[in-house]
Amino acid sequence: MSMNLIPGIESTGSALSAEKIRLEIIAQNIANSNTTQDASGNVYKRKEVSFEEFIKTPERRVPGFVDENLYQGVRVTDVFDDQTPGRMIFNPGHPHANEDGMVEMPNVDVSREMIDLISASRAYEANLTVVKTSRRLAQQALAIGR
Amino acid sequence: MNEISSLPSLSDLLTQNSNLQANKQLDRFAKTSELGQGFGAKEAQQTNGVDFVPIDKTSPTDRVTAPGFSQMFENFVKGVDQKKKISARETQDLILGKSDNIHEAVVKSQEAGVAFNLMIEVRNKLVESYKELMRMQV
Repeated sequence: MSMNLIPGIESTGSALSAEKIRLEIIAQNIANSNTTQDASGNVYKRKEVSFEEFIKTPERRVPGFVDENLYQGVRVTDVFDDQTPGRMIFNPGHPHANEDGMVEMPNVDVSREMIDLISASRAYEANLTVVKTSRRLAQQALAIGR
Repeated sequence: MNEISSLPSLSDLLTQNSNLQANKQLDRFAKTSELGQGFGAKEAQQTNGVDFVPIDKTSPTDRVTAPGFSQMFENFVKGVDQKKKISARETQDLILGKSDNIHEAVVKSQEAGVAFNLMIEVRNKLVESYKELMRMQV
């Protein structure tokens, strides 16, 4: 990264983006905790994200600034379905009931999603704290000259 | 910023000006050599008592070692400008709904802010050292 004045900003930025996607997926799970039919006609399956470290080359180079530093960030590689079967509920009048009158509920456990939500938001906050701290460091370093 | 960099520097103007004057003198030599037949241009120069000094077309800033401070500072200013432009683009994308990463826009604007502050500090130092020179006892 050319002229990297705020330490760690690029890695932290990618982590913020990844945690944001994780939050979105958790929100999606909670929103669909009672969805018995998704877009393809099956019961909604809980979604999970997987993170992966990646090495990013600087996307923009300013002429005159030579910088070979690559930074390691994180990105979401996959959003996958949790395949555990959901609860079966007897409800013959339900439009999504099978021939035995059973309706499969989504395998979303709202309390578990809440815990994941706390974890994701804490991870986001941690990265925000890194941004704040490193910005403050840069500004304090600049204040030496005053 | 582009407008500033496109303006010719003072030293460039001065060299251009002295070039013009030198050309005029050469014209005059040519005329005298035509009028006074048999006199060469060299003699005309000698009779006028003016020695022709070749103009050094390089500006004083080019004569010092390669990239130079001005070039370096210009690149730095361009870098700061680049950061500011990136920040503006991110913010615009966010406002227009092209992007939904709030942190991206804020982080970029903070980066641009820190870079700008650094530029201000460097400028302050430069102005300070210039003033210090001006205060020097002669």
